[in-house]
Amino acid sequence: MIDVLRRITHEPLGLIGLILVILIVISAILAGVVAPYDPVALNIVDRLQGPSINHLLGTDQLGRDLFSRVLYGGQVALKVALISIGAALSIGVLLGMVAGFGPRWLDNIIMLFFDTIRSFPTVMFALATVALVGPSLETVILVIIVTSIPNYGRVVRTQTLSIKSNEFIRAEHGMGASLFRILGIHVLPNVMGPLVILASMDIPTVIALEAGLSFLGMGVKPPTPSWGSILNDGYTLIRNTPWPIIAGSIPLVLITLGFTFLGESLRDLIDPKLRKSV
Amino acid sequence: MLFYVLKRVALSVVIVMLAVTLLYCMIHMVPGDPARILLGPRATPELIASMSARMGLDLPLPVQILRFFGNLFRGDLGMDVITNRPVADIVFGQLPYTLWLIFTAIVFAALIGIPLGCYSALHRNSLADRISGVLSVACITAPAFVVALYSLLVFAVTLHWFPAVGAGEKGAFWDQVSHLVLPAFAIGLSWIGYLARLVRASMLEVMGENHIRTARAYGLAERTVVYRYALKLAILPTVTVIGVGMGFLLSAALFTEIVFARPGIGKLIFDSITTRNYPVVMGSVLVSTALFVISTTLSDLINAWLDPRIRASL
Amino acid sequence: MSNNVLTIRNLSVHYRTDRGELKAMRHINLDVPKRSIVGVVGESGCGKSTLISSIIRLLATNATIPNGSIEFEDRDLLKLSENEMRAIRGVRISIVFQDPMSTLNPVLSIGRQMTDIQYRDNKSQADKVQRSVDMLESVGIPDPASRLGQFPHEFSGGMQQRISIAMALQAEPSLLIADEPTTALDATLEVQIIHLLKALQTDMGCSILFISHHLGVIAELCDYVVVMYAGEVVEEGTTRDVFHHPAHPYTERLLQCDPASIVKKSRTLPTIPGDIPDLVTLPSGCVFKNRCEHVMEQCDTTTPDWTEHSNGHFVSCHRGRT
Repeated sequence: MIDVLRRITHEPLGLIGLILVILIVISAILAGVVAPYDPVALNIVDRLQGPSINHLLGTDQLGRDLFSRVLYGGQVALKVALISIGAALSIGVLLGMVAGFGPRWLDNIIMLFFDTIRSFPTVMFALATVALVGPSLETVILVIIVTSIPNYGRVVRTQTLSIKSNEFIRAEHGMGASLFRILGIHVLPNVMGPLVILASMDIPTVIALEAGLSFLGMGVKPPTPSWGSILNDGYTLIRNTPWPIIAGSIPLVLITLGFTFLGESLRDLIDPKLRKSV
Repeated sequence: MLFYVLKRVALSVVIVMLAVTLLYCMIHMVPGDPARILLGPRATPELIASMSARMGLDLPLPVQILRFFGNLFRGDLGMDVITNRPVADIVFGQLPYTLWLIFTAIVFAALIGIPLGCYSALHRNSLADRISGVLSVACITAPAFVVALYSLLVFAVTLHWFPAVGAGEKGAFWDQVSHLVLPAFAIGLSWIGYLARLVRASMLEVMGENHIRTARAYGLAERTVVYRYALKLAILPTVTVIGVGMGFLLSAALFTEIVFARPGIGKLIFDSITTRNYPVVMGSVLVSTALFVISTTLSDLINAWLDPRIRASL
Repeated sequence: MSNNVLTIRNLSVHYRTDRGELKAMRHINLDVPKRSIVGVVGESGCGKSTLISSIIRLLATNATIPNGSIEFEDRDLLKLSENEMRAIRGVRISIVFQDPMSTLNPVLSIGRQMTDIQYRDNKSQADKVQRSVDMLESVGIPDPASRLGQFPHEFSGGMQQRISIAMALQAEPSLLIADEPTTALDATLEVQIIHLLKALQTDMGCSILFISHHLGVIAELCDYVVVMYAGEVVEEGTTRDVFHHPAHPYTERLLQCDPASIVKKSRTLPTIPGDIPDLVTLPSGCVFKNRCEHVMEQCDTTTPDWTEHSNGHFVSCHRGRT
């Protein structure tokens, strides 16, 4: 692990990615300490200001400090990314193994389920769910979990299938080794690499999706700051001031870039097979 | 071949039907009467009951689903409870806007991305290749709605080069084109990077294959070797990716249509969801899901048409 | 006018690698007389494919040619411009490659590929098609006119190799390079392809440079043999001379190792112990010294000269010259 980190820092893009990610993660964690203002405190007198020493990124239509809101918005983005990818990963691994090792009919059902989920455009599925359940951060997390499961499930299923047909595994199974033992010892370690890569490449997508849904007013509820809701404020104010759009997009673009660069260097390091092709 | 097409179509139908069933089940599972939510807290019970009946929500769930499919086979997607117009009319009235938008975006992305990928592959590890590689990643990661916001901010609001809202006057061709530029750019930008990387990778692979060496050994011009012998193979994965990418394209179109206040299926879904207009939600989600499934199937068929090896194995 | 269609003198090819200059081919001499078949034999990694690529000048981008000349029809190929070289490829010099299943473009029809390479001819499309049909006929493809529209994967490996031969000979080249054309095929097909090549060569009067590690095929087909080892030509002569009176220890061992020549019953197949020397850090003296049974003191210090062993039979070895 340390070795992988060390090697990533030797690649310019990997290093940039790592720095961006660490910078934004730390500033989100330390938002309570670093932020100069309360992100939801109104200050109508100072509304719609441009950047200044007092307000690094200016203020919005209610006079809230955009820099502070951006810092707190990072907390929302990272929370959504961590919870939803963690959950999707676990469920995906489970379903993938069941599909791979289970009977044929169960495999078919799970694959049909995966295909059905994938056939919904993600955002439409999210909107439909929000419409039914109501907008909230939990809904967003739920939607992301459901739509990400097939990504992980497919990888695990393929790997499980290839291991299942392995002579050695068949022998071990025949000698009475438990299914859990086989899955835990032979399947899991083999899929860990691809899954880590997949997850790190998935983080930017998830963060962008959360921002997108919050932009549509389908994510976090109003006073709570999220990059997407800051952008939404910016959209309604587009003819008055460009600053909310700039403030909301900078961290969003930086973190997606950061995680993508990081994910790509990780992939190059862990899975050299893929390096050849990209 | 015919069997393969039939199988694909049958599978597509099953997936679309499953998706609709899932949606119905979700509506059913959610606490709260959709009719009551639609009408607001002050609606009388009689009003709610009649609205429920009009939306068909008073019947048992399996009956609702069966009735939906029954109507579907007659080309009937139900009635919009608010405007009292057939849902099919509304959806198919909006669909062309979205299709044109997606088509323009993909053509724009292909026209830039594919040559860029070719160039990068042929000048591997050159400075231009490295720059285009980093730019591609930056393009891919930029969310469509952020690109849409910026292009609205810069090119419409600040510079006034292009109109900001709508899809343009009906029948006025150039007006419609100028309304199409920014939204198509917002959707297409990430696809430029995506296609460039994809074409670069597959081009590099193909250029290393033996038959390219053969073509060169027969003295074919480098131009012929690259653009006729190699590109024809290297382009194949692109077709698949665009077909499968229809979901992403529809999602991006939804954001873009909202940002630019453009008519289209994405905006229709968004509007009907915010107004809880379930029949319209149902109809438009069904049509866009079908669109996705159709495009995946279509890309497989195009691939089979382009690649004789696949054609033979069908 | 020289009597040779191809005359290679003192040719070296190096590759730039991370470890340094890899001297893949060093001071090669090789003659291909008109209307003759010359076999090149050697283990894998001995520089056979580098030799072919340098003749048609399609070397990898990291390759350099520090010295030497490749004279073909009285012109030095190494001095031609890229366009002049391209006019020779596929017209005056053609190649049949090793693995027939991957040498043809999988998404273009046979007819398209065969007419495309006639792009330089000032002929009508119908004439080009007719030429392709005639060629396919002459390599023994039944009903060629109807098969032009088919794709490579619709033919068997042997058929694909016949098509490759038809394509190579379509422009009636004066030199055909055959790069292990039968290695990927089974024994029956191998014999058929060999006979086909021989018949076509007699008909058209071209020369063939035949690369193979199969000694039996070389013996049957070739007039002359060139033995390569670790990027050098160690022996050259008529097939009869080289096979019956090998002058280089490597050739001797090679002949002993050929399964067809093993008469005595033995539990183990004979092999040549040792490995090819590292071509980046090449030791001084003879390249074969570390595997040679007859190694002498001077083998370690001086590179043996290229000398005429008997009339037209050349060798580079110190043995028998002290």
